Amino acid sequence: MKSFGVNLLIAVIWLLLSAEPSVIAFAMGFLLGFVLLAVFQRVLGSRDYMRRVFALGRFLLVFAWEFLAANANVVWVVLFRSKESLHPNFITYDVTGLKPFEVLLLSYCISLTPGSTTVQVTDDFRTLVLHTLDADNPSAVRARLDRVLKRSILSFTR
Amino acid sequence: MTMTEMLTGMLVLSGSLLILASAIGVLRLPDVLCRSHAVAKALTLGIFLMLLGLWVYQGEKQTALKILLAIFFQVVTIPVGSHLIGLLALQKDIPRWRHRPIDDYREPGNRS
Repeated sequence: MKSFGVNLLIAVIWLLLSAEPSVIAFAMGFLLGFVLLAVFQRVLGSRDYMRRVFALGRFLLVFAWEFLAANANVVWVVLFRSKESLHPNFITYDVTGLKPFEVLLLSYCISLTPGSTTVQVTDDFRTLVLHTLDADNPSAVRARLDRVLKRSILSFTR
Repeated sequence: MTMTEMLTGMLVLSGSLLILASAIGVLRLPDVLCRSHAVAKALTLGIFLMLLGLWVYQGEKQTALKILLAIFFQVVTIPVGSHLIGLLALQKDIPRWRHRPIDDYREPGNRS
């Protein structure tokens, strides 16, 4: 978090030094600050920050891919599948040990990934109730969420 | 046609096709919860793509930043809306397609 502040500070200084303040100049300054933090990570103690930034980038890529796949899936279900071939049902997903913010992020991402939407977060933040279109194999859905989403979210929040 | 116009056209067109798909989904899918799948996913990406097309068309002007804000709020709030509809459908026990007993669903509070 301290390293993020330093990065932001460098960006603002760069913005003040540039001849014409613009969004591009701010982005340039931010990138420059990031490069500085990467080069001097021993001195500034920003190794953890670098790790988190790369993990966040990786998570965003994974999430974007899942989101596109979800949309292709929805279009296919809507246009080509009959009602009779759907087996929708609720399944539960255990999120014990995650912080409330991580549960929030996870439930948001689940709503936008293929085949599942979040229906309920229990009051103790331990269980998510999901609704899936094909609930024949709940443990496969859980394993997939564990493998794809939970791991990449935890890699940058911890 | 310039490059910008082509890109704008493609983005807006694909966005509107996705919104059309989610509208068809609302008509075709059998119950509330299945419909919320179509709305949560296809509508989010559809609106995202349409606003992105508008942003590309506007270029780097002051108004363009407001479009970024609009994208942010749309993308954040649509899944929340679908979540709330699903929550209501669960609590009110609205009739569901192929209602089966939930094999591994425990009521919250009955946890040992």
